[in-house]
Amino acid sequence: MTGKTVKIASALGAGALAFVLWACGDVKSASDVGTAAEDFTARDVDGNTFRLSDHIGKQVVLIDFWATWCSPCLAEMPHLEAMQDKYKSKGFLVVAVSMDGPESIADVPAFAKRNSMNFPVLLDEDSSIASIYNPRKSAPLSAIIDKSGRISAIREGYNPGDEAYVEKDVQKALGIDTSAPAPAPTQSASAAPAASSAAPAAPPAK
Amino acid sequence: MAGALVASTPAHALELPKLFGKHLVLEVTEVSIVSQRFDSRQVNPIIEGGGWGQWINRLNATLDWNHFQVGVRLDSAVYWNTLNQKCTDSAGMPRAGVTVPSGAGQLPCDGPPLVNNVQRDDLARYQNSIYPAKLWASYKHKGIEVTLGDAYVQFARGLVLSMRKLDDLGIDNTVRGIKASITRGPFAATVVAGLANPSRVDEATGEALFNQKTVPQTSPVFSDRGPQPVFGQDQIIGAELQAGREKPVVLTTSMAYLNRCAPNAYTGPTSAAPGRVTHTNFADDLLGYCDDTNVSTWLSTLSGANTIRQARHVATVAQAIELPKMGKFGSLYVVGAVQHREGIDQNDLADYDDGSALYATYVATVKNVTNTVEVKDYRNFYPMAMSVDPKVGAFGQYAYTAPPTIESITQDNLFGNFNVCATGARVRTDVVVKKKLVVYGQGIFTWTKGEQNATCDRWGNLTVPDAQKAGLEDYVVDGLLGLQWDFENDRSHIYATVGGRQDWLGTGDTFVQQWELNYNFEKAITKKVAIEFIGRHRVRYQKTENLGPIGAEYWVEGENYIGLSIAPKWIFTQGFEYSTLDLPENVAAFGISNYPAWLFLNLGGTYKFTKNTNIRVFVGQQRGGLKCISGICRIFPNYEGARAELTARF
Repeated sequence: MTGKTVKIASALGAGALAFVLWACGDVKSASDVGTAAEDFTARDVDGNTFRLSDHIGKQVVLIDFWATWCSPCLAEMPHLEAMQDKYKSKGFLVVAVSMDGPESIADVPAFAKRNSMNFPVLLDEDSSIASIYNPRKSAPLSAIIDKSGRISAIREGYNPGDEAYVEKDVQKALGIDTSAPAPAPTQSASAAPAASSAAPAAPPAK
Repeated sequence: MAGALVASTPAHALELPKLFGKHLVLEVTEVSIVSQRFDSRQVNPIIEGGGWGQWINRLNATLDWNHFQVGVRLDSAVYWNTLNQKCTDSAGMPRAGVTVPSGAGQLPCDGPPLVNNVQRDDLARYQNSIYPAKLWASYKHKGIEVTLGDAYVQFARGLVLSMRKLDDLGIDNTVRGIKASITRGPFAATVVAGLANPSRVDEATGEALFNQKTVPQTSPVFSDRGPQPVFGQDQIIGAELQAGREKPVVLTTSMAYLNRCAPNAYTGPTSAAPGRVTHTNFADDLLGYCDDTNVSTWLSTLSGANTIRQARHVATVAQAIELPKMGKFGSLYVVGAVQHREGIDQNDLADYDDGSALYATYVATVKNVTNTVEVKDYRNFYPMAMSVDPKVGAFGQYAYTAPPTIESITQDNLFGNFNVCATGARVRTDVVVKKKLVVYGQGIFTWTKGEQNATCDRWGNLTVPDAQKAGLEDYVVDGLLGLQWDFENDRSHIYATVGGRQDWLGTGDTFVQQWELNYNFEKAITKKVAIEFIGRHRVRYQKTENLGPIGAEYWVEGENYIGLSIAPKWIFTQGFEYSTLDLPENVAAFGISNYPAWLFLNLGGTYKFTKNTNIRVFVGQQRGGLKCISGICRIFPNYEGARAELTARF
């Protein structure tokens, strides 16, 4: 590789960074429309087939990428379970996508059982789902797909307090009024406050 | 560990004008990493190239329309302050009289210790580059998926094929060609064909899989060999058929065939420059030179005579049966595989031989107790190694398959060919004591004939005289107890394990012993603020490591991090790592006096400064060593420097 390569690589990097800074400084110049969610088919831990396109248009889907060896994923899971309980009737579905490979995939069913995961737990052994929504394979990472089939939010990582912001993203995707103050962190299905009555009713999940 | 603490990035995309009534959406993800090493923290920093810097850029763009997507990931790398840049003149020759600082004083660029490393910069590392790391066009709709270009694929729990992305190891393997799959009712079929396409640049070492640069032929080391490619053209064909999806019994047949071809042609032995690289045919440059002569020359340059890396053809077939819906009886998965390896000609068959693998897992829950059982029996069954030149050691352990090890995902006490000839079982029991409180225990037993790098035949018998067998077999027992407790409305937690591992040789001698504590304690302080303590401490012994005047000695090592998170924008981390492996008092017996310090300190932070952008900064030191993910291990160098990583998505 020659000095020409250095110049081209540097120009590319600089150009990309300039694009980043331009876009960051003027986010509104880009349409505030999320990417169309790409379809995928996968099996869950119970042997059932899950196809995303069966749910688009009917439900808001939160795809959560996690792995059995990921502590922040484990810490986030109870909050996702609570959200699933709380918003299920408004057309909300959590789909947990395990990124475990050959080494740890045997632990996935037990993980789902002991943590009472109340939503589909998919296996992504070949990274094909992650390559669409989570190419960097961050764990955890959640992608929220609204009912029009667009990705409305992507959130990477989890620390205590983030659950309130995830919930706000979910409420927004469900069309629930989020102009009110930030919601209290989701605690449990029974303790969680009811969704805003101002929100339009969503069709029940099928 | 610190990297696990990252900020959030809402997604947006640029919507272009509609095309035939369908949205056309462009999404761009940009990752830019700038890193400056201060010191390599090796015995002699400059010999290892301490002080170099790099800028790695990954620009990923996808264009979606209807059910179609086209995408590209353009990777680039720029290096500075390398030995080569400091020490060579415009003709690429070492500059006489020029010195560079090292831990041992000033080293002359034209002195023997540096000359070889200056040339190593040319051959295998620090290559400024820009290339399309991934390219693809795909169609996905209603159970039909077709991808032209790069695709990930895994068959039979990794026994047959495992082309995946493992960021922790810097691995990103795809098949570049075609992948097609169809799912209809209880049936599914997947076919894949193409060339193996790993990411070419290793961030941790600066090594790369690009063709070597031209080396001055006056080099005493490389004058007998001109610049060559370091990565072969590995052609892969695979297929998987599945029947019984959604049914109580699922049958899956998987197969893969690897055909190794040379990445170039070679001049013959009677040539004026024997063994030099030539490129005689454009099509072969793209797909590989597959004739016997060139393949034989290429494979002979790879390390490990008569190993799977030098096997020209590798075929693997597996049959799995799965019972996922046994109700209260749980679920069962069993897979058996056979592997056939061939050399260049029929005479090599005896050298390469066949192997087999049997792997099973069973999970059952009774009330609040869940049991997981894993069993493996591998006989002369090798991971399908990549065709890579030994000069790029960072890629040396890359493989296209990943047989399950039944060990912890980060287990780094798997030496030699641990999993090639091994029989073992793992039992794990999880007990939900009460809501939000889980305790668990795990026990593993493995009998391996590969850890001491011995070879076994297709029946699992060691190919050495009986008198030598005891010293080549290992019996390994591994156990742990764990706790998972979430409290304060799931906003605080304690996750912890304590465990031990004992590895005896057949002679009764201890080969490896380890005691280990892992902890992760997080406490919410306010609704947005939390503090986290996370780390690992180990006491280790290995018969061949940490040798001192009285032989092998125990050592300790670990990592401890404190993180302060302020949701949703800020994360701060402070960490210290340590290792007493090869301290001066140990290695002094061998005449080495300037080993680096045992303590590694660092600071880090993450800030999300717009909706779409976050930046991670790290300053300080990190311990290197063997790192294993999914049974694939590689050695990382120590690190001392500063690193910033910018991620943006549109």
